[in-house]
Amino acid sequence: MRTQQVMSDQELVDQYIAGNEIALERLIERHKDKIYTSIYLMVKDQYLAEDIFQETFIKAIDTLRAGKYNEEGKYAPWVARIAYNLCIDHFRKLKRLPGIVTSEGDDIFKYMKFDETPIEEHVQLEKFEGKLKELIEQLPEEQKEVVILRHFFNFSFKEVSEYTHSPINTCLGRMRYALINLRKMMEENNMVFKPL
Amino acid sequence: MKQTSTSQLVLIHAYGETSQAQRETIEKEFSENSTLYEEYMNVIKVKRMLNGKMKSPSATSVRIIMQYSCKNEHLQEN
Repeated sequence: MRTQQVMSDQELVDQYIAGNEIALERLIERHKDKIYTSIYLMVKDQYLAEDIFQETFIKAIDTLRAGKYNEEGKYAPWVARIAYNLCIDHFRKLKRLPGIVTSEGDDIFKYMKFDETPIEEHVQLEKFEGKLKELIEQLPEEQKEVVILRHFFNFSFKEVSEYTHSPINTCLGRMRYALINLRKMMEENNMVFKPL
Repeated sequence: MKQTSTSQLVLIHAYGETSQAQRETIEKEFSENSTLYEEYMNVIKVKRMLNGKMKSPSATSVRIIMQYSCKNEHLQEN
């Protein structure tokens, strides 16, 4: 019998549908960082990203449990699409609703703390992870969009082209320049490249 | 797909989207053009750097999802 560590996503999905909760835990563990980072880079708020991350997997669970999952072999892109659509829904709601802000003008979400990371660790993590956000933020808007969709949400270039309503060659050009720019920025920031 | 430049093909290859024919073409190009291979390696390096800087959701979020799943299963059993 194959262990869950070497099981494909589809095998884990099948096991989960059959009632194995551990299979879901494995699926979340396997994809959580990429999905969460994608959401975080889009909404730019840690607490909101946590909410959308939870909502993403809850939607996925509901679909799997209802027997409506028909993305054979494409679990990761399917979950990424759910996350992306929830981010888009969030931005649509923002356009309709006034923001909830404190008297100091900060977004109320920033005060809803539930992260269990010790505070010292949190500061170090923010310094390290903040750089990625800073680097991506420095990219021109069109390049940033393509990087987030292709690299983090893991959409194919064809899907990126469809979502951004841009020709595929334009998307490829934007991605190429984005990666060249990111490399330059990483070098300027003395960010060490991992040996290959 | 419209005509793809070699640089674009490098990118598509780095993201694992090349067809068998495109893979053969680009691998032949790599063996003949060291600058192109260097460009490919640079894309791979940036990809790895970006992957090394992923953020993780809180343990609480994962627990909430797992609790939802268990509760949902329990309801279905009843």
